[in-house]
Amino acid sequence: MPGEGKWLKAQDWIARKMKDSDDDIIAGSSRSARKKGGPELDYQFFLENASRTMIRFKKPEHLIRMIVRMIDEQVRVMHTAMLLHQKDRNAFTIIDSKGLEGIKIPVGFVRLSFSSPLIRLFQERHNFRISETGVVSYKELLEVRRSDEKIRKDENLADLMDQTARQMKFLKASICIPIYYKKNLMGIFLLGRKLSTAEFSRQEIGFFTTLANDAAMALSNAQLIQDLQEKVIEVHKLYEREHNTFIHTAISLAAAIDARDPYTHGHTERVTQYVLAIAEELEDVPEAKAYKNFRETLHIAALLHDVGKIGVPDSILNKRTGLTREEYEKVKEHSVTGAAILYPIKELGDIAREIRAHHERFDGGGYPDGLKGEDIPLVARMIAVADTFDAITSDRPYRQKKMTEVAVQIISDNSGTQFDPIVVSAFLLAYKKGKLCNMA
Amino acid sequence: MLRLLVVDDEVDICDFVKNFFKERDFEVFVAYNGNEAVSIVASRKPDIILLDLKMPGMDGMETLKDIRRLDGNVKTIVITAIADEEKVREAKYYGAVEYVTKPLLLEQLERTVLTIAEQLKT
Repeated sequence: MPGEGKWLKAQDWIARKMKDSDDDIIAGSSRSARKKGGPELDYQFFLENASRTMIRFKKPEHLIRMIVRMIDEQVRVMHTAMLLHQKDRNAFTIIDSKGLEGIKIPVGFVRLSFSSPLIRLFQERHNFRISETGVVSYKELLEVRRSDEKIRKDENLADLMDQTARQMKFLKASICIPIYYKKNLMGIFLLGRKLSTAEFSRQEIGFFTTLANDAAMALSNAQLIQDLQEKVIEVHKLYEREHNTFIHTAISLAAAIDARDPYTHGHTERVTQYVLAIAEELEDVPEAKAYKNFRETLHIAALLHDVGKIGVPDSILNKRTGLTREEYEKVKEHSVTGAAILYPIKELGDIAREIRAHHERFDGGGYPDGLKGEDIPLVARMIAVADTFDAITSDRPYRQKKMTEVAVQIISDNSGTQFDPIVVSAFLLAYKKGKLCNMA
Repeated sequence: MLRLLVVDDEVDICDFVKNFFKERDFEVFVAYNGNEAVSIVASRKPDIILLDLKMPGMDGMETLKDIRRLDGNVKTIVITAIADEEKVREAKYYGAVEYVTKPLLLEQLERTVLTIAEQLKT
């Protein structure tokens, strides 16, 4: 059978090229193909194999380049070029070409707009009126234009076909193979005359159509992946924006709480800074790693740890003298109130737990639940240290501001009783590094 | 027969454009850089020049200035991938008659060149 040897060669060639570009996908396929019976079967097998593997190309340009090279080397044409729709240019441009000097269309040199006849012919699917396969040859275009009565009467179409013929002549295209995906024109393969000047056979045209379908699959896959990646980035940005809004809301809320109490002005902000400084020394602790997002949790929890003070009357908050037992009980409610305020917010479920526990003591003598040791969540243990440190170092209505060194000493003395020793050592490390001084 | 000079550092482009205009009855010369272009303008006196702007060595704009000094009548069409208003103004200031951006529409290039050719003939 004529042409048999050529297709076998093509098979080898394509298998080799694929092996070069994507080592794991097609090893051995051409050999097994050749073992299988007659040439027809081989050809079928080859096409099936090719289309199955081609869609796995990660970059469609690699596939396009391979197809262009394959046609150029195996079919022996004057030139071949691939026109591809470029979204950003809103036009079709040559992304790869091969062929004889002076005839080959240079990559990136020409473009075809959507109003150009060749694109319109394929976009509006008039090509299927010219040939069953949708592949349009220059010769057939002229013949149909001349002999088809209906087309001759359809002035617009006849005119479009004349212009298309002219454009094909411009591009020295003997046949054009459209690439469609879901009826959208993605590109066109342009092929020049065969070097042998023979016509293209049905088998060859069938083969080109298969290649075009594969290209369409590969291109649309790549497009889908790109769209998906863009979506992911978009969602991520949306999340970031929403999250920023959320953090700012938390900051505003914290500021509102601070503002009610002139004596603790800036307290929340400082506690947040201290907690973040302690966290830097603690990040490798397994307990910290167990958090889904440690930094975020502690940041928000620190900002909102006193949100429950909304429920404490001004008369108590602003009192200059010591508190009565009753008043003190009222103040103590703020950790429970804070957790209750934040609990309904789904995103803050975990944080409510931290806020409820920020007045617990390591030895179990704290409130509201009398939790002990590591039953107290880590962030709450950190806030406890930072909160106390700020309370000692800033002016409170009921006592005078103390020196930083004295405050550090008090924290250190209460390690293991009021405070978690690990958190205290992290606190001391941060202090030694000078991370706690400026704000106090 | 009108004479056309193609100036581009890309050999493929020179070949393609040369072939394209040969078929449209032009005598076509090719230069791969600015210096070659200037010496062809001096020796061959082309009527129309298709000039790329971005070239290694002497760039298109410098070439354009030199060409104008040699021959004030030659019609130069700048062809470039640089779509920049400032560059267009500059090229026109130095005597370019048209400015075409790559990737270009072949029909448009043909029309532009043939229109100038018609004007030169009359």
